[in-house]
Amino acid sequence: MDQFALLRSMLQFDTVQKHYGNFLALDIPSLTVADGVYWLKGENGSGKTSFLKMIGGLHPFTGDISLSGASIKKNRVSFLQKVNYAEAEPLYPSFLSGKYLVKLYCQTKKTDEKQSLELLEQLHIADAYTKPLGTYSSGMLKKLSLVLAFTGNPKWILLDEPLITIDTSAVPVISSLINSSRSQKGISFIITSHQPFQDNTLQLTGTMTAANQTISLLYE
Amino acid sequence: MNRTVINILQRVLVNHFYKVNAGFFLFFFFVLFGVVNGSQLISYHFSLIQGMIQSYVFLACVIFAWLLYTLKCINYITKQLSEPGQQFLFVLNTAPRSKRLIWMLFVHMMVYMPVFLYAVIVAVIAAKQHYFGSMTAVIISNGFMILLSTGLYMRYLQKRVTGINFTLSAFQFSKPFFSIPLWFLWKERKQMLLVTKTFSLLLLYGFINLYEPDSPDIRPLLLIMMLIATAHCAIILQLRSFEEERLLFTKNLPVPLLKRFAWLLLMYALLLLPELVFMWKGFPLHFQLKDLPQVWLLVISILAFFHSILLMKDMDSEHYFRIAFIICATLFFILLYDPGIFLPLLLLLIAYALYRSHLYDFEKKIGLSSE
Repeated sequence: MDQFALLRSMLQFDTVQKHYGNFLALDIPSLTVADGVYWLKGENGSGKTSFLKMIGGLHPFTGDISLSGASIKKNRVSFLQKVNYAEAEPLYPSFLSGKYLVKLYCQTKKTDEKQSLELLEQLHIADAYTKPLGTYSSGMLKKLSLVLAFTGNPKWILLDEPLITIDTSAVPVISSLINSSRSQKGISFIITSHQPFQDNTLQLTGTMTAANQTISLLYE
Repeated sequence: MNRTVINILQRVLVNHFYKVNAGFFLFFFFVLFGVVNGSQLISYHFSLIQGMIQSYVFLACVIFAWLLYTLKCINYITKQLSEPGQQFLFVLNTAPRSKRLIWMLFVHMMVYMPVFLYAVIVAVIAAKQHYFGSMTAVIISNGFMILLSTGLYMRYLQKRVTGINFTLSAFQFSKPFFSIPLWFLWKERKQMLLVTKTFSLLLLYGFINLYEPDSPDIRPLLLIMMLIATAHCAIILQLRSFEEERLLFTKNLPVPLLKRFAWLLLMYALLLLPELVFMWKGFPLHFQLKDLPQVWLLVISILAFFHSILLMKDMDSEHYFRIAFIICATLFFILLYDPGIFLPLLLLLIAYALYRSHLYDFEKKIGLSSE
């Protein structure tokens, strides 16, 4: 039996619709996504971010999304224990420190800070840990949001444009982090990115495409 | 060029100021002109002005209130000038200094107009009644505040200063999560917080000192506390906007709904702490110990109710202030019948029902209508 069989989890979408006013932005009648690493592609405005935000609990929608049978609408807390999300352009209160956010995430995701601190070191932002976020550059904020996305014991991590604004030296760190999280912990990923990862270092399970107001899935 | 610049400044700075502060002006308009009978309005304000020019203590309080309004104007204009969308205004630096001075004076006078007009009336009455000391104080204080503001805008336009920052770095201690929105008020909406708290504490102070009940009756205090809660509605709008913009990430955190609502109540209890503590000055004349849960719960539940209303879809500030005003008027009549603890409990229940219904899935309504 696969050692990660117990960790495996499928995301299921049931008649999911996302509207902005009267405009139907996304319509997903039925979609099942098995665990793995997925690259979500699509043009600007095709609904990639909306799709991730719906799964991450940030955007309201009609229909339902469930993970291993747990619905985001009926078992929201349990669902969000397993799904972490990093925004493309994270916004935080400027007067809080990185340390405050890490502690907040660790408390709510029921984990200790050790792993987050190691990641902050790897991404070279540990020195700014106690400083107010208002002093962070956009790249540092982006790195912090990635660290927060890896906090806890998620089954799925949703990364919206993880490579924008960060320096080139951090890209291999993030690639290797994604690969190791997948191979060692069985964490699944949905990643949107207009920039390809260097040397195709990611071991992709499939590609998702956001187009024509829906999401389609193609396995590798 | 002059006319074009004036038009642009009017549109991007002045008009927007009155638009975003519509609730603030509506509230003060109601307090200054809506609380007295129309036929007594002039004599009421005349008596008020008489009080100002005859008592230096009263006049000092009024000038302090004008100063708070000036700080509000300064805070708004400097914030607007720092907005990325208004960076084009820095092109004004190419004009001669005298022109820039006139433009910035125009901007300030337009946003300061409500206070300026009232101050002119006060000064004229003081002069006519030979209270030259009061007249001089009004003219000098207003002149000073106008020149100070204009000078600050000039310096800001030239980027000699990076912002009007009143940060008190001494207050660096651990912040419980529910208090984060209050820290936002403290750090970024200081003037609004100061004006609201000054008003509500003055209202409470005036009530406790001037009103002496013949027999124990909790209703007058409940009415005052309800007015105080309603005076916070502009602050609640700012808090909601902050939540949507900077705390959106917290929706991804696995926090139970009930706990989020409890945080909300704790946050508003903390926000109202000055009033809830100051209220003790009225013990035991204005309330008994047994009344405390009712009074505290009432103000907290009104704030939670307003907050939950703002979660509803398409709730813009105009609708919100209108609804807040209607709720205030309705509560006024209900409180006259002393509904006891049931009113705050009912408000709390409705607030929670709205919160539960609209925090995550307000889009269900669109879904139903589109089907």
